[in-house]
Amino acid sequence: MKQRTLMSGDEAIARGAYEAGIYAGFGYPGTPSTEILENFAQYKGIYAEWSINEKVALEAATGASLGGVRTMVTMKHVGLNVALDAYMTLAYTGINGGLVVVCADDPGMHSSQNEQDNRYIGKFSYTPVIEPSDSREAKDFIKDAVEISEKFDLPVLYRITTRIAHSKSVVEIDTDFKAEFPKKKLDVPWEKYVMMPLNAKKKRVQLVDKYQKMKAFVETTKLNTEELLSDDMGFITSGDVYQYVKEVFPGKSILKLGMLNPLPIQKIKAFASKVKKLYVVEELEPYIEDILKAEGIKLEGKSIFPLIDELTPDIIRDSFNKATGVPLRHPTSDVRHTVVPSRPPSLCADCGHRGVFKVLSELGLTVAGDIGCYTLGALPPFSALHTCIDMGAAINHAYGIEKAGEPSDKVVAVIGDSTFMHSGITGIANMVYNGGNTLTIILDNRTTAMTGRQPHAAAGKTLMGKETNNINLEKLLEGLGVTKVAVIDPFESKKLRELVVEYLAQNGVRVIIARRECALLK
Amino acid sequence: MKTVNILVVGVGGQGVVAASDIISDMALARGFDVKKSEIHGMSQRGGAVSSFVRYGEHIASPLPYKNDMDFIISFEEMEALRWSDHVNEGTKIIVNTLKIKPASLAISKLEYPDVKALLKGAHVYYLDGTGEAKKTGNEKVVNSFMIGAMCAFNDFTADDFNAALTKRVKKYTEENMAAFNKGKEMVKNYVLS
Repeated sequence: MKQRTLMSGDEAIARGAYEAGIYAGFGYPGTPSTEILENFAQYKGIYAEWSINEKVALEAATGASLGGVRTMVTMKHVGLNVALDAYMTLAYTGINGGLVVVCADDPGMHSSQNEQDNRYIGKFSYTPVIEPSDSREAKDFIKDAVEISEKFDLPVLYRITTRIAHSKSVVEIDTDFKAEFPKKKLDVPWEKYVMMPLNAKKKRVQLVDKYQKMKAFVETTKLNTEELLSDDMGFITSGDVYQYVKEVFPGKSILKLGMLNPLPIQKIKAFASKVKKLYVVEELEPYIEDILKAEGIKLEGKSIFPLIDELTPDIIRDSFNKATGVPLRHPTSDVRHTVVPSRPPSLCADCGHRGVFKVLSELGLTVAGDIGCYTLGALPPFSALHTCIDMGAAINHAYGIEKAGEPSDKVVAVIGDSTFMHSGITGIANMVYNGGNTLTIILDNRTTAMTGRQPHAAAGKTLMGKETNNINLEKLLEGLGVTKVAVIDPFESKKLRELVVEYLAQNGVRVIIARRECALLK
Repeated sequence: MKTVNILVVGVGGQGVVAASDIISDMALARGFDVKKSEIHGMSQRGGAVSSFVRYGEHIASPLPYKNDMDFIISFEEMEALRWSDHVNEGTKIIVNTLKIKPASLAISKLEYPDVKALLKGAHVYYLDGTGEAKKTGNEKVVNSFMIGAMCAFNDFTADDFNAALTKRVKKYTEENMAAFNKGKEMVKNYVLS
């Protein structure tokens, strides 16, 4: 039975993956991508997991692809940085079962530390980039992505943004649909997958050759659609921005790009010749604009529309009107009467992290921090966190500060349990190896709280809800050669303070595990 | 028909997103095109939450123009003020008079604003939704009360609401329906003070 339903982009991608016969999904939680795998895990007959980190996820997915099934990997934009080592050379080797890397950019940095534009990764790696503009396309294009992956023997980068991931729109689904999961034979010819220079040099030539074939393909793919409605002006755009352009410029011609790498240069040139004035409207970097300008196509883009922050219909309309001297149709009024007190997110009232930050704040320490709820320790009333750059960095930041000659009893690293499992372990190993004296506090709340309480390797459950091995942090640390490990409830303020003071005065690698279950789990 | 634009706002944990889901489902069941957009992520940690719902014959952008809002439904008093730059002459503003003081007051030295003095007019409805919800025995049905209040202006019926509600929430249907009807009734009988 056909059913109209409202789905977020994330839900639609999960549905699309199921319908496209994707059997295995790997990923690491990261807003706004998290709900893709959470929803995918609900379908029958599939396999889904939260991997330790994005690199592990992509490598496991690569293995699954070699094993002959269609696979998907999900992550947020910065997660692809972690997985990029695996991705770049996967472009050289290619795949067996179709492999789609779904990656969610966060223009506007609603929940991220940077605003990087991952469309460039496609160009950088010579891999196809596909971008949907609403939930219906988010579902449908996954099938195209799998087909393109298998056609060109390449991983495909499926780029979405926060507004696609978390906006809901109408999707029609067939409730009787039963997925089939094609399985090829394991196929690992060594000259294809062993990237020693001997083979890699050949694969590099093949990759560039594949790219030429993709350039021909992209000129005719139905993923790019032209709406020729007027000849006075035309817009080239993609993703959520397409919907804003439809809203702001009704009745104007649009070339909507669903495939962003490579760009359909001939199709674009033909479109350009049909309109008097050409504009490129894109969020973040002038990705499309720069490529088209290099092709000698006359257009305007970032000279009008902002480079920074996400776009909205208001911003597009006002920027355009300002640049072209068109009188404002709906002047944006600001009738805000007064300063409204801000309501920044804060640690929950009964959050265990509060106990740790109270102590660190009182002791006036320099605190190298990491990514998670506890980043909020940087804000008043604690103001007790001084760095947060990337996943797993805290331990290494604190260690490096010590190497710069700063006293190690004035510096501490704090890192969450999920982040520690993601990429903190290597930092401890490095300190043990090179002789660090930095105190690390693992803020162990037994979950990945910030992204919505996903389980992880040290929290005893899998994405599919199965009880599993629970990595014992204490034993892990001892095994790594950590000098001293203590476990404490962060609400035991006095004891915690004494312990921190005691450990700060010592040498060697010391770790305090401040363990209290996330308040939201209760 | 003209597209209807609704902005639902409040504080993390109040059920803003759930309410906007139910409104969206009511519109979908009526055969409209529907889009909604909100930002998730840090909302559980007491931050300001907002969700846009749009429905009509055809909806392109999930985000409406700021000042094209037909309704602002605020689950908390001060939050209505935060979004007052989205108001036009015709915007109906329905405010739950619950005050949740943000932790930032202690640091910013700001007072909780006198919302009723700053945001007034024939189009603003101040209702004690939380108080009415408590009377049903379940404070959480304030969601349904606020949706009911909005439905005093458009033609969604109690049946439309019931269908959308029970798709998502299996419990407390009676309390939710009572709250919905109460919200609708209080707006219809609203006397400007």
